[in-house]
Amino acid sequence: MRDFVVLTINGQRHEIKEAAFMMLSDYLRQNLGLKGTKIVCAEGDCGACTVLCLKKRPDESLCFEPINSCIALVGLLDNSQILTVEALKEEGQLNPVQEALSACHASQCGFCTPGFVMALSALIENSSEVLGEQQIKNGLTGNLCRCTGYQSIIEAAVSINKNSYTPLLERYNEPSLKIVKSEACSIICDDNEFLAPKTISQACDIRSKKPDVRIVAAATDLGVLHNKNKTTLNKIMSLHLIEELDTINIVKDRIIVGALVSLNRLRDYTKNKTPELARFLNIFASPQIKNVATLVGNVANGSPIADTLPFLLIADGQVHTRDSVSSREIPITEFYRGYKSLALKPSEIITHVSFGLIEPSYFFRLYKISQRKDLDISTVNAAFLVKFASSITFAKIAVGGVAATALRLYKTEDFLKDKILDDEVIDQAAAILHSEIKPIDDLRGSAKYRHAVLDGFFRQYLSELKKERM
Amino acid sequence: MSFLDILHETKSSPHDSAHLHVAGESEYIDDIRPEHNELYVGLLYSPYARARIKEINLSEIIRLKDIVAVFTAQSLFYNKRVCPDFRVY
Repeated sequence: MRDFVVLTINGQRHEIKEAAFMMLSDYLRQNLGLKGTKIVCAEGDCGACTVLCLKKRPDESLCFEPINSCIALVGLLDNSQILTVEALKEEGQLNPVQEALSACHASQCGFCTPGFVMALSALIENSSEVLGEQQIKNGLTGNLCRCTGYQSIIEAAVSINKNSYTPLLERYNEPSLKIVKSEACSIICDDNEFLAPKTISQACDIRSKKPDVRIVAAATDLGVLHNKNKTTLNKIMSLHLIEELDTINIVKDRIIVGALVSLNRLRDYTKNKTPELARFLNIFASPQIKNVATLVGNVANGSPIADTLPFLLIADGQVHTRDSVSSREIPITEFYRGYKSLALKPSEIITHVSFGLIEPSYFFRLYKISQRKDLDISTVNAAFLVKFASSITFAKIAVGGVAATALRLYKTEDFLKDKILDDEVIDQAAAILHSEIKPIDDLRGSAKYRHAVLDGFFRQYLSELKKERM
Repeated sequence: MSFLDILHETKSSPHDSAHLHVAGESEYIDDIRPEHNELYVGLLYSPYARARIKEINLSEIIRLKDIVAVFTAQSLFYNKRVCPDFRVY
């Protein structure tokens, strides 16, 4: 058992104990004096804190991915290889990414610039061709700039000369990282506890003996609450050493997603199998968030506006749990008992979330609306699915952001069964739909607005259905 | 040489600090380590977005042990030199 975590930062190995409970951005700036990494929003929104983290792709190849260091607890990055903006210069000279941003006037106050440099580096690093404008925009949805304007940044990105660029993967790669991965980790200091078991049964053991220890995947939500003093991440269990949770596969027409699988990996995996889900995940959050945030984390966090829940509710989602003595598969439709209240025993941990493949002949759409398109929390989200011949054989509708939990709208579904779609049926169905939801007024929108948005989703969906199938 | 001539002659050149910005080497206030016993200024906002200020009562603040001085709009408006409303030191 070790009592430290290991991070390799800019090629230098660090064994870390007390600082495991710091955010990486603070650790870099305060403990290592690496002040090129900036902190602005401290909630994973602006990207000024972007650093690169080495990840293994499913085909075992390695790549550097951008993450938000301001909401990344050092402990959760155990075994990671991190690069900061200080790692980019080659023999004291700006590298081609830095050169391009400088030459294209892509900085003004310069405070967001290191974050942009890192996000762009990840794009260059992981793309074999010249970057297209849309690809650049997608890659930079996690970075905000308030004075330069994005046009010069995009121009800089297009102009990067890849021929003179030496991949960071060639410059920084530490294969010896695997050595510590085999050992469980336990750091206890003062009131803080960081535990990383090696097996599921060890994790279950910790869960039953220490009920106040929280299981944290990437802390992309809890890290925000921690930074805003709304929670304290001081008693944590991380499952990152449990290799069997790092898998995603198909068994009998169901996709089974382990607790360590990031949303970006889920997106890549479902691209051809459930394209509508993959498309929807593109607007789930920024690359920085999706590289670390997990599907299981989204389910366990249990927010009524979690973007994956409407999908899971109509795709026969199941939550796979384990404790020391037994395992269960709980239908997602029965998993939420109230606002962030889960049908989970105190002794249980979630190991996987699974869902059924959607029959390609079904008409299936996912919607979300938020105050801005990318990297924003939904005001309302929804999933609609029907099997359609000349009439509706059956319908499934699930919505988030209109009640204390994400919901299936069973009454509306029942009404639509065997109906032929005409204007009268649509109006009647919409009336039932509104009777099934109880939205509240909050900072993201009023109850009235949420009714209006869901009405819009529903009618848009049915009109797309009519256009395509009738 | 007229002003317009100069304008035509001028080529745009990179921001003076661009090479530092892109390398994370520019030093901002936030990057400077505080000196021992260094004073810093914090802003206190009204909790109400739209309200009339009837009175600002500093009696509680004065008792806090780390507060050295408080400035209000009044101290900025009416004094020729900027002086705090009260001083502890």
